[in-house]
Amino acid sequence: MNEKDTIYAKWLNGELDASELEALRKSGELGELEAIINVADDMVLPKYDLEEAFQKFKSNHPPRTAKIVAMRAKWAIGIAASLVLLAAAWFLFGSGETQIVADNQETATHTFRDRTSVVLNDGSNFVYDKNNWEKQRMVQLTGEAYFEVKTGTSFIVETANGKVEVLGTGFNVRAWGDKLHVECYHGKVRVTAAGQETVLTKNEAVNVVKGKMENKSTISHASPLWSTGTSRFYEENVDDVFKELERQFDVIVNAPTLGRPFSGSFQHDDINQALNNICKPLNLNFDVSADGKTVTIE
Amino acid sequence: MPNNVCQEKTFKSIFMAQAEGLRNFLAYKTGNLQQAEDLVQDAFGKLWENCAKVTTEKAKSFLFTVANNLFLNQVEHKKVVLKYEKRGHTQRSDETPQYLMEEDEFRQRLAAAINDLPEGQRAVFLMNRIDKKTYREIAAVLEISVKAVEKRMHNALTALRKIHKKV
Repeated sequence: MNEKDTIYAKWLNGELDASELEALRKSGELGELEAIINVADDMVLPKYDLEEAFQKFKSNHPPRTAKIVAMRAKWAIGIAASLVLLAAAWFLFGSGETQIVADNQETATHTFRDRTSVVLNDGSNFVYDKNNWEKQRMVQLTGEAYFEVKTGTSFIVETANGKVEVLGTGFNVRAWGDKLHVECYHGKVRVTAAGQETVLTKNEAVNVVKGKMENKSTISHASPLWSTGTSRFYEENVDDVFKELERQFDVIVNAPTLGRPFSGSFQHDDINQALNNICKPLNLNFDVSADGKTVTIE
Repeated sequence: MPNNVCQEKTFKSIFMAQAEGLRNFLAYKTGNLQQAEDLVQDAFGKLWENCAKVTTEKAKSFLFTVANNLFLNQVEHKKVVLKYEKRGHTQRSDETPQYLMEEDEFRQRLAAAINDLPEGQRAVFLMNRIDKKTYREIAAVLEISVKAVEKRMHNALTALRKIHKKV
C-alpha cells in the first residue's frame, strides 16, 4: 500500500496497483491529474543553443595561462619592505627576467609573442629574459615542460643537467634532481650534456644521469605522457617516483630512502591506485592519512 | 585515458552533456531564462577554475551545487517562461474535465499555477515532465532522497489540481 503523501507521484510513475488506481478514478482525482499532465507535457522551454553557449563560454574563459612571478621580488621576501620595493622596482625597470610557474597539481601554458608555447607540468617553472627574447630565445627550466616551438632564431632550454637546443620540433624535457630526460616527438633537437652531444629525431629519447649521457631509446607516444595524465618510469629510483607522486597529488610522502629502481606508471586521478602501482611490485606498504595530505610508506 | 576536466576536450564534453539540464533546472528555479543561462556560464566558470580538483564523475554534482549556490545569491525570482508545443498525443482518459474549459484558458491557468508552486516543487515537477528525468535522477541532482522527490511531486500535483476547482 502506497503512502498518502506520495500517491500522486507513484501514480505518475505508473507504480500504483489496480485497486489504488480504481480508488483514484472513483474520487475523480484521476481525471483531473491526467488533464494536468496532458497539458503540462506539451510545455517546453525555449530552445537552448548549446554550441553557441559553449562558444560564449570559451570567449569569456580563454585557455589557462601561466602565472608570472616577478623573480627579483621573490628572494627579497623577508628582507625589509623598502628593499622589496627597491628590488621590485629594479625588476620592473631594470631586468626583463620573468619566471613562469605551475603550482603543484596544476599545469600551466605560456605562449610567447612568436606563438611558441610551453606547457609546464606540476610544480615546474622556467625563467626567460623578456627584453631579450627576440634576440635570443632561451629559457632556464626547473622541472618538466613540453615545448612547441615556432620557426625563428634558435631556441634553447637550459637545465641544471644539460642544454637542449631546438632544430624545429616538438619535444619534452624532464629535468628533476640530477637527471635529464628528453623525448622528441617530431622534428629534431640537439642535447648537450657533460661534454657530449646527441641529436634526437622523431620518437627518440635520451637520458642523462649524473652527468653521463646514455644511449638513445625509442618511444611510441606522440606527446608527453604527463600531458594525458600519466607518469611513466623506466628503471627510475623509487625515491624520485615518490617525489613525482608528491607533485602530482600535492601530498607529503614520508618514506625511508630506498634507492631501488622502479619501472611502471601511475595516473593522476586516483592516489590509492597510484600508490598500489608503485608499492605492490616493490613489496612496500602504504598508508594515506585521513585528511589525504600525508602518505606513509613502509 | 584518465579523466581530466582541465583538458578542453573533456571539458567540452561535460559542457555539452550537462549545460542544457543545468540551464533548465535554473530556469525552473529562477523563472528567468536569461538569468539561468548566465548562471550556467558562471557555474562552468567555477568548474573551469577548479578543474584540477574535480573529477569528471563529480563534475555534474559540482555544477548543480555551484549553480544552486549562485542561485541562492540572486534575489529576484520571476515567472517561468514556458512555451507550448502541441505534440499531438492522445488523451489518457475520456473522463478529463478539460472540456469544461477552453483549452487555452486551461493552459494559462496551469502555467500560472506552476509558477505559483514553491520553487522546490516546481523544479521537481518540470524536471520530470519537461526534461524527462526520473525521480532517482532528480534526487541525485538535488541531493535529496527519492522519497523527498516523490513528496514534492505529490504536493505539486495536489496544488495544481486546484485549478480545476475555480472556474
